Amino acid sequence: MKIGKLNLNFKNPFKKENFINEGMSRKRLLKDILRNLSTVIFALFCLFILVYIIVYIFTNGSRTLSWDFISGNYQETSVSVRAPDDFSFDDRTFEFTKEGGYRSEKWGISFIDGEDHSGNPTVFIYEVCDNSYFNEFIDSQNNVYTSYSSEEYVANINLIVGDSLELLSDNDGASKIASTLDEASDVTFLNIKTLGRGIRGSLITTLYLILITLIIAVPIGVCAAIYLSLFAKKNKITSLIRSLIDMTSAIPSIIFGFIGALVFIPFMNAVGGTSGGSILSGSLTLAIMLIPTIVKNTEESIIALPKGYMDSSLALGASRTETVFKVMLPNALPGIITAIILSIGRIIGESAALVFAIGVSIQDSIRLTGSSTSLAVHIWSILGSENPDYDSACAISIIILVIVLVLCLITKLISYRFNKKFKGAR
Amino acid sequence: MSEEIVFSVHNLNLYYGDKKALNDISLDIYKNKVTAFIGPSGCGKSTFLRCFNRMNDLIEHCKVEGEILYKDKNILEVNPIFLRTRVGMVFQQPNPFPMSIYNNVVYGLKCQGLRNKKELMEICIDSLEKSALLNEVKDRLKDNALALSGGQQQRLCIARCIALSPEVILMDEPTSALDPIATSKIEELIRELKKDYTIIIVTHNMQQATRISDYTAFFMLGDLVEYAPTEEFFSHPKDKRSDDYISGKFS
Repeated sequence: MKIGKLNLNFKNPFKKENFINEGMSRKRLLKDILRNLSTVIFALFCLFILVYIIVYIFTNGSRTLSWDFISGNYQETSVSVRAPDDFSFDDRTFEFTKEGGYRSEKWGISFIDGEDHSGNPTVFIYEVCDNSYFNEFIDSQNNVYTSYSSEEYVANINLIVGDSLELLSDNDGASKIASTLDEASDVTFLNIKTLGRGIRGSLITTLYLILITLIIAVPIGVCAAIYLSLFAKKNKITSLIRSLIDMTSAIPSIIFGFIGALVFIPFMNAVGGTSGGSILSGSLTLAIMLIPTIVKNTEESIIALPKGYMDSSLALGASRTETVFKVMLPNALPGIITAIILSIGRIIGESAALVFAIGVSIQDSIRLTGSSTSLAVHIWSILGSENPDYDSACAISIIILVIVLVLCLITKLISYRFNKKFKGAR
Repeated sequence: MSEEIVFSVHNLNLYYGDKKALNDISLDIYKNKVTAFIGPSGCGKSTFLRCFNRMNDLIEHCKVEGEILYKDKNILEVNPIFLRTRVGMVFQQPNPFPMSIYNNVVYGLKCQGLRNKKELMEICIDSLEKSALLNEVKDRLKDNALALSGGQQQRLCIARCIALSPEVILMDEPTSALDPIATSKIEELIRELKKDYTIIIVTHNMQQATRISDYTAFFMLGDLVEYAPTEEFFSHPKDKRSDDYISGKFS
């Protein structure tokens, strides 16, 4: 029996010729089949779990995942406006440029039905004509409000129709709101909101974290690796340093997190003038966490180079430093890039350390010295709230998974090219 | 003998830590001759060879005493980087850098600070011609050197070395990783090169020593047993140990 490349080697143990021909007793044959079966079953079990997780994340996340989700604000915004006190109609006419939607020809605005994140019906503003009466509406500070957008929905609207007050909300549907508006003589209250829960802030924070962490960690890590593998004398101290670096990479990230909170947050507060966790303190913590990985990978890729490179370069009259920078480093570059990519993967996925070192508050406007949070902690944050938003979490997971997958592919590609290049040299 | 002397070694002792690897060696290396170092494994011939361009400096706990005179200067006291441009070295394993053939050849020159592209190309072509490689690679100077065959790679290493126009070329068993055809090409090249350069070669292969060398030095356990013109050495060895080694009584 064959499933793809798996050869299960099923033979009916109760058929005489199967064990007589191969000189195996029935018991041995049964044992073999059991062993084979168990390996296959466990392999399938692992595969099943993996597929289940991915399918779950993608089915739940794909509904939420959209450009608005990626580029939108997390915070909901809410604005209340009303018609000015001396409001009256004149004889203006309106030109709508967008097709469709439910229009109010009297006011110069159109609405469209939509859904909020939980799937409840909502009425979105579809179009506001340039000369619409709505562009003369004032907010609570008596400022004229004109920045309507199609991301805003009508939460509540109070109208005066004839002598009575009509109270409508987004449950009533776009057509009812538009037709009631056409009959109304005044708008006394209009509350418009945006949906929020976008991840733009966390996405930008993550990118900043990657950039700043690498700027700090890569030069330090690579230089340390060069020193350890090429310049340092092999004695007890360097071997101690080496094993310390190995051990550091095994420290759980939560420990780095509270060290970051204890050391780097006060440090940045004193030096950078921040208050509380910031992208800078988070980056410093991550850099400390990643330096051992970078040192290790770089050192390994330098050690893996043919030993003759060093000798023959020196024999050609190059100095040790020239040899390192002209021969060893360029050829160890694929290993260094792999280390960097692995680090990026870790920065994206890291949550435990960042919970302490940068904080969990999700922000929309990002400053290096301000508190904001990464995608992974964003998940942590929204799932820890009163109403866990699993759909958003799945959507963010898709983004993280896709980025990590792409990084993995790049790593594979680099090591493939690296091996091809060195085929003749080993 | 009225040959011009390049290196004059006096009472050279070399220690690896506490272990003495070379024992009071004195000999002269003659200009434009091929000198072969032979001897059983671990006799110190490669170690001795590496003294001439001070590659032993790179080995920790390695201590050298005595003097090697090169143009009346003790090379143990000159700048090793300068020394290595005058005394080139070819290793046992062909080890071109994973860069283009052209860059391999001009690597040493670029390290010396030569930047003129035209000049570099001229030297590159000249070196490849001298190392009998030009015809095989002239259309692909920009190709990766690792694409060459083992014998071609070794000749590229020789080209890389003579691009610096050294006076002496040290060769540490340059053919032991090569097949017989590539070996014979290298041997032919060595006979050609000795017109311009002084060559010191370490070899395990006594036939090779007889074929290419003018002088032979026989080492055993860190001692220089016998040093004589090759013909004389192989036909009338003076020392019993040389006789035994040549006739294969031990190896």
